[in-house]
Formats: sequence, C-alpha cells, structure tokens
Amino acid sequence: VGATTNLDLGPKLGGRACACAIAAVLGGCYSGLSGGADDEDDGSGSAADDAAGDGDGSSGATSDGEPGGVEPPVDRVARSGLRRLTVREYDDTLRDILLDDGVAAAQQLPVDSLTPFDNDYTHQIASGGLIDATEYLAARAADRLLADSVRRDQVVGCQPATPDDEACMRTFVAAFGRRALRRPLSEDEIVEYLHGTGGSGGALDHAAGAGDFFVGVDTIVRTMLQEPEFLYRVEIGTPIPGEPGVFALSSFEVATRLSYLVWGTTPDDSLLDLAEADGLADTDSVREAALDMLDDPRAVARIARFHAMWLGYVLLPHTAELSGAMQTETTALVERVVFADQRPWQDLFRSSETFVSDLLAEQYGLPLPGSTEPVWVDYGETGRQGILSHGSFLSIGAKFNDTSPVQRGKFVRERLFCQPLEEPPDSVDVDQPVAPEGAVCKVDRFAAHEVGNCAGCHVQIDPVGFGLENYDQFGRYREFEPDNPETEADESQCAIEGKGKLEGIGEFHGPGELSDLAIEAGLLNACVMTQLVRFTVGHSEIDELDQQLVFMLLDHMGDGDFRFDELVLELVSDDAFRFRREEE
Amino acid sequence: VIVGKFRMQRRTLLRGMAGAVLALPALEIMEAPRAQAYGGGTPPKRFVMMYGGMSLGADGSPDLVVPDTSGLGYDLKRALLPIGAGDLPVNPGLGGQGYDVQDSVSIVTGLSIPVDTGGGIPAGGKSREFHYNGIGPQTSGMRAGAAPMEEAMGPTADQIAADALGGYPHASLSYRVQAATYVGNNATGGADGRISYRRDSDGNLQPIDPVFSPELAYASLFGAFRGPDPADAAAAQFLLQRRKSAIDLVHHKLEALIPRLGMADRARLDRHLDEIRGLEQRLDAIPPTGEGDCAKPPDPGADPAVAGAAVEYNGEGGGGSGYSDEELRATILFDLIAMAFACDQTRSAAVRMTFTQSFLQMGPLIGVESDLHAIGHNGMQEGYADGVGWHVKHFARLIAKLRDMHDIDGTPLLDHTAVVLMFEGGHGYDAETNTDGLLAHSSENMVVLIGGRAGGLNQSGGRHLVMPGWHPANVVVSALHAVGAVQDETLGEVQGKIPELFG
Repeated sequence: VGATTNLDLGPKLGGRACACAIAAVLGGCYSGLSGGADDEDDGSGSAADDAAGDGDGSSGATSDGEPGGVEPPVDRVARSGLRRLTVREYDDTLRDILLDDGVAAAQQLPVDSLTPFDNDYTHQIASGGLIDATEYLAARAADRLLADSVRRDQVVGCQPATPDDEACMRTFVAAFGRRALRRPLSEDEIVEYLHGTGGSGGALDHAAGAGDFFVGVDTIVRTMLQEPEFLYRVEIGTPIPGEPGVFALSSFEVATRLSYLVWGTTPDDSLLDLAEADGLADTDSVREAALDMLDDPRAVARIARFHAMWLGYVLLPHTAELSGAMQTETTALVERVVFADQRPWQDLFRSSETFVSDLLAEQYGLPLPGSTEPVWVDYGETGRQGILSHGSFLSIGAKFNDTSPVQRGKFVRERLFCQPLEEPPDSVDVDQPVAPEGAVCKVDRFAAHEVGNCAGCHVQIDPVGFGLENYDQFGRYREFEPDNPETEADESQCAIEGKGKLEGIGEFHGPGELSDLAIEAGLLNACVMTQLVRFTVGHSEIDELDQQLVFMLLDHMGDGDFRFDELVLELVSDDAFRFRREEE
Repeated sequence: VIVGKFRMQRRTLLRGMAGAVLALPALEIMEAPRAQAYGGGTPPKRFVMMYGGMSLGADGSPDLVVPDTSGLGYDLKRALLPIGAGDLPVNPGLGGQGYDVQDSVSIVTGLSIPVDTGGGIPAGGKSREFHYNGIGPQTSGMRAGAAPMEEAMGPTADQIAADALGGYPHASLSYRVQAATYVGNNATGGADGRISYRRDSDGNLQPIDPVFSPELAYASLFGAFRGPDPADAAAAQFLLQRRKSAIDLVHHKLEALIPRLGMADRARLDRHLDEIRGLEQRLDAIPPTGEGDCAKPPDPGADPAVAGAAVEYNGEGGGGSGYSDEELRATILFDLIAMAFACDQTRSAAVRMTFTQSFLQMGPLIGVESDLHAIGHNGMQEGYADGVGWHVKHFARLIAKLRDMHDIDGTPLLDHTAVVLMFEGGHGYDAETNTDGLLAHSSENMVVLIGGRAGGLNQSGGRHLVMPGWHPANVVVSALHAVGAVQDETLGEVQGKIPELFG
C-alpha cells in the first residue's frame, strides 16, 4: 500500500454536498483534494460501502493469537510499527506500574515530534541519548521506589523472609513483569530475571551479595524499564492465512492498543486479567471493555490531550498564568461536553457558556464572575460561541504582536478541516509581514494575495482568517487594528470589518458563525474522525487503509451530531482494531 | 570465571577472550580502552562544533560583530568582547571581564552559503528560504533539501571527527543548550534542534537526538566515576555490576525479540540494539579515576525547570516565559565537555546552543525583555549584538577552560583541540525576498569563529580573515584538518581548508 500524504475525502462525504463542492473549488490549491469530477469516479467510495457491511459481533483473535472466526476487514487494517512510548505515556505508565507520581521524563527523553500528535512512530529514532535517558530514568525510578517503603511494599506485594527469598522475588517478578511488559512472563523469563541469563547476575545474586532483598528489586526495576517490550508497544500477532502481512493481535496486544488509545497508559491489572481470560477476542467484548475504560479519569485526560494536540493548545505563547487559564477553559469544555454531559461532540463548537475566572472574563469582555477560580459563564450577546472563541484557539499563528489572517486561515483549513495546502513557493518570506507600498490597514496589506499566483491558495485561506479578525491573539474583542510602533503609519485608525468567507460555502462573521458553517457543511465530522484515526494508528501520513477507517466511521456516525465517546467506541469495536498490517 | 562476588557477564567474558588473541591477559584487555587512550603519551586531538540560531545583526543597523581591522590583533566589537581581556557589557548574562583568548581565536568573515537562484540548489547550498536550510550546509557541507527543514543531508563534522578520532567510551557528545523551542502552538517538536547526523552501519544517514539535560549528561559521563575513598569505590563498583546485569538481560531479550518482527520493526530495534551496545561499551570502560586535571565535576543536581512558550515581544516586557536557565545549562554542559576531554571520555562534541529562529527569552541573559528572533527584527542593534555575544561568551569560556586544563603530558588541552562556532545567518542581502539592505535574513557576510591550537591552528595568534566567496564549511574543514580528521580537506560538497588559519 503506497502511503499518500493527504486524505481524499471527496466522494465519501456522500450526502455532504458542501464538502464535495469544496473539493471541486479548491482543486487548484489543495494538495489533498482532487477535482470534483474525478472524485466522482475514483472508486474510493465502493470499498467503504463494502466495509460498511462488515459485521460486528464476530470474534477476532483468541488470547493466544490464533485468529478467530472473523475475516479481517483487510481494506482497512492499518499498517503498524513499533511505537515507543511518548514522553507523556512514559510518565503515566511509570505512575501506574510503580504508583509513582514523581515521574517527569520530559527533561531527559528525546523530544516527541508533534505531527500534530506526539505518538507518530515514523518520527521516532533510537539514539544514544535515548538509551542513556532510559537507563538513567529507570535507575531514578528504582531509587524512588526503594526510598518509599510503603509504596515499595505495595509494588513488591510480599514480605521477604531473607535477602534471597526466592519465592517472594518470584512473586514480584511475575506480577511486576506482567504490568511492565503488558503480558505474562514465561517460566524461562522469570528464571532469567532471578538468576541471570547465564545462571548468574540475576536479581537474587545481587540481593544475596548485598544482603538486601530490595537490591534485587532494584535490579529488576532497572532491567524491565529498559526492556524493548516496555519502551515500545510491540505487536506481533498471528498471521492470517491468505492475507500476507495481516496479523490477528493477541488479546494482550489488543488490551495494550486499547489502553494507550483510551487512557494513554498501560493496561491495568483488570484489563490484563480480561486479556488473560480471552475477554477481548470479539467486537462486543472490546466495546464493553472500552465502555468501562471511558468511565475513568485517565480517559478524560487522554481525550482532553487529544484535543489539545489536535487544536494546538498544548503550548501557548502567553504568560504562564494566561496560558494556563486558557488551557483550563478549553479542557473544561471538552470534559463537560464529552464526559460530564455526554452531549454531541459538535457542542464543543456551539457551547453558549465558557469556564473562566475574572482573568479570562475580563479578557473576553464578559461580566466578571467575581472569582479567581474559573466558573461557567454565559457568553450572552457577545457573539462568542464554543471552542473557537477561546483564547486557546485564537492564539493560533500570532505574529508580530498581532494576529495573522494567513496563519489562522491555514490552521483552520489544514488542522480543523483536514484540507492540506501546498507549501508557499520559497520566494515567499513567510516570516515577514506583508507590506506593499502605501498600504496601512491589514486588509489592504494582504490585498496582494488576491491576485496572480497567490490567489489560488490565498482565496481559501485569508478570508477565513479575516473572519476572525475582531478577536486578537489573546482572545480579546477589538474593532480597530493595534498600532504598530515599528511603522510611521497609525494602524489604530483601521476599522476591522471582521467579515469572513468559506469559499463555495458561505460568509461568516466571527468564530460562532464559522462554527455553525463548518458544522453545517460537515467539515468537522470528517476531520475529527481523520485526526482520531491518525492518533490511533500512530502515523500522520494517511494512506488508503487509513482512509477506509475514516469512511467506516463516517458511515457509522453519519453527517450529523454524534458523541465523541461513541466515536471512540465505534473505532475500537471495529474488527480492524484487532488486526495489524506489517509495514512494507 | 569469578570476579569478586560475581561471575562475569557473558559478553564481557567474550570480549576478554577475544583479547587473548592479542597475547594480553584476559583481564588486562578488559581494561585496555582507557590505557590505550593515553597510549604512548601523545595526547589525543579533540573537536568541538557549536551552532547559534541567529544572524549577526538586526534589521536596518550595522552589525557589531565583524572587526574593522584584519589580521592579527583585530579589533573587538561589542559581540566579540568575550574573547578579549576587557570589560564586558554590563547585563545579566555577560558582565565582568572577557576570557582573554584572542590569541587562540580567529574569526573568518565575508563567508556565504550559495543560494538557489532558479537552477536548483547548488553544491553546499540552500534554497532561498532563510531560516531552516542553513544549518545542514554548514555542519555537513552538503546542500540542503528543498523543503524548509533542518536535516543535514550528510554526516556532520562532529561525527566525522568522532569516527576519525576514536573517542571512547563516548564516541561523541551531542548537546543542546536551549531546552525547548518556546514557539508555542506552532511547535513541531523533536526533529527541530538537532545538530548531529551520522551514517549507521548500513550506510543510512541517521539523526542523533541531542541531550539537553545537564543532569543526564553528568550521569552519563561521570556517574560511574570512582573516587579515591575505597568504600565509595566499592559501592560504585557494586552499582556498576547491577547496571551491567540489567543491560545484559536487555541485550539478551532484544536479540530474542528482533527475529520475531517484520523488516521495518527489525530495523528499528537493530538501531536500538546498536545503541545498547554503545551503552555496554560505556559500562565496560574503566571509569575515570582522576589523573592529571581529570577530576569528578560537581554534581549539577536536578535540571532547571523547562519554561513555557515565549511571549511575543510587545514592548512592555516578555513575562518571563521562554527561558529555562539556559545560562546555567550552557555553563554545566561546557564544563562537562571540558572535563570529558581531560578525562578522555570523548574526543568530539557538538553543541546546539539555540534553535533555528530562536525564541529564547533573552531578558535574563542580556537584559532585553524579548526573544532572540524578535530582537533581530525589531532592529535592536546592541541587544542583538549581546545575543551574539552570549553565544561568543560560552565559546570563549570553553576556550579558556581548555587553555587552563592540561593533558597528562602537561600540555594545555587547547593545544590539541579545535573549536568552531557558527551562526544561522549573516547580515545583508535577503535572497528570500530579493531585498538589499542590512537584513538579518541573509546567508551572506557570515562569520565563523575558530579557536584552539591543534595541528598548527592559530599558531602565531588569532587573526581576522576576510574570505569572500568562501563557505562557512571551509572553516569547519579547517578545524577538521587541524585535528587530523580529514585527509582530502573535504566536508560533504565543500572542499578546502583556509591555509591562513595555520600561519
């Protein structure tokens, strides 16, 4: 399967006539959407239609990896490779297997690439720095464990009678090994941990040498936290006869895939128990497990982080206080819509209330709630609505102490609508403000984009950004441009009209109307599904197999409203979730 | 075989047995690497490559870097004051006296990276896009890719030096001072901020993730250092045995796992295994014990916290984000490099001081409450010079440390070392917008500082050489030549050392 950079959603938007119209109109600029006429005939819809008929309820794989009675939906079994735990996953995994809240590996582990998600395994490369970091972090984790006798005894699970108490060490190795490697250990493996690979240098040798049982524990923790099966999510599975390169995952592999998707951390003991009892071998059981997992704070944090990475507010270019307030506001809305109220996901873009303290309320021009702690506040008649009115979103692409309509428009097109754009020619300096001679106001300074070769792309970009211009990079409402002290002109005389346009769809004014237009046009549904697939498969480059997963989700969830937790359930309970395709 | 309380690990035993063919006792060959390091009493040569993610001058004002006079005894403008002996500009990150290393530092100016003018990217050149394509041609001598990416397209000079100089147990050190991009919601993460690329055993070019944690760098270099106290030495040895046991089992399990994987995953874990072997070598090496000026440096303690994204300069103060005590980080990392040389733990190092288009908040460093990138575009002449000066300060400080520390034959480390400091841009014509002027977005009028005295470098003192038409990588070639790491005076597509540097 050849990887393609961009997603072709044209025909499968189906009754989504507006989206098809976009594909036709934007053919000259967007690198991912071909012309509408061609799309009608490219056949990509038929595979999805077929896929939509694939059943649910049949079993996928048994716990020992034997394929069950179900045919894998080979048209959408995604390629998968070894995925190293991200920095966040590493921290959270250690927290869960060692009951350790003191893990902070971000200073030592290599920085994750954001594409936009941090779990893109195609960008992960082992380096000497990684190896040194994992050894060092393993040692520090072991040190912290041994320094806390209460936690140590919880993790070890037995009281040693002697420094070389083999029975107790065996109990610890088996239990901790299952948590760390996310599968049961074989007897041979346990013996190696206890006695070393050549019959020496094992945990019991070190414990006996030191006269201290917990020195052996230290050795085990150091070892397991450096093992490839801890650092990487290893999927092997069982080959499917007649389908080269397709493998049925074991129940433990399904449990791990499920856990890192929904929780962002390792399977807990009950999920591992379920896997051991072959309880994840079919669609219904995976769905049931996932349903339970969604009712957990780890799922809340994970889905909030998915949105933060997708919409780019993991980091914000403001003071720590303001950035934190904005992130809290948006996270609260995600948690409320998806979990607390279980409302349609689209309500993220419709919400008439937001979660602010006096700090942000003042910033937004809302009545002050009289609180330094955030509370829910009604937007009233301010024209604000939903997540696109948040400072976390409006911070996007700020440049030169002002907003950039181009950066905002590009972000909306590429990140929010999943409509990739071609890179500008390298003769264009995207780092410098556009400043044609004599132009003062921003709308005039950007007029050069409306002619010549620039227009093909910028007609799709700039009008989106100009529709948000009444909101500055801090989320504040404004009616005039800020003065630029670097120029002689007085830009503060430039009134902002704030009128925007989605070419081929309609005009809007402000983030609320943009939200309504995007929902109505079906642009958000297809994109959130695409981003969720990216997040799930761990690679940002979408290929034909990944497209079919998106089409499956579109077919099941439809054009209208859906709940995000149900979208997750639909994805994990698809048969394809229990299979993998080897990379070529 | 019994060594102390422990039977020897399988791989160590195999190494010892292999040594037997050299007619040395098994245990002696196990200690050979360090003994060989100083074999014959000839100090090894060392190479350091530094890079700053900024240009030389702010938009619209002359730079305060390029000397007016050339040759020996060149004048020191504001940004170069740290290499002299006089007072430094009074601000938080500078201040005090210079490091008095001008006699061992030359500055080569008038350099340029050739830019694509429509016929394709020339050899050693880059596209017209300014920011991201300039580092690879300088560090590797290879033309950049067409996309605005930082990746070097060939092995970087530090890795070429590492291969030639045979450093052990650390073939090279690759560090970064700036802890994070501080870019905010445009950040792309891991691929940015690297400086080193090498060929793996299959000939594929691979990036090396730089270490940006002083805490980790210290642990990796000096975690196994044996102090003079016998009890401490015994404890260190006991800990080392546990570390070796752990990594031995990890190695064993990797070897068992790899054959069960598909080709792509095998390649990933093969690389992981290669790096595990590197750690094994480091653990097997006899730890430094303190000879000559080699001594265990003070434990730097926990890393400074990593700050959030930089706050864009608005003329009213930056708010304190975008700074993670890079001053302390730089100080520790360069101290570690100097001591790693003194203890012969490595012979090559690369330090990425700042990211491309750096958003490092400079308030705590130079007293200007703005990020480095904005300082350049806001035309702050002295502020930008002090930004350059902060990079030069750490360069000069390293040179001074190497001058003041000695090899086991009593000669200064600096006599056997070459250090280069490069910058992202020069100052002048902006090819991206085809605009003349004093512009920061320029790959013309670039400079490279080269310090040290290895191989006759700066033999009669530091000098200012004006070399129009030459490439920054020619200075890097000169540094590689000085340490004997290139035979044909070539780095990637750039050929030729600068003979005047050896006069």
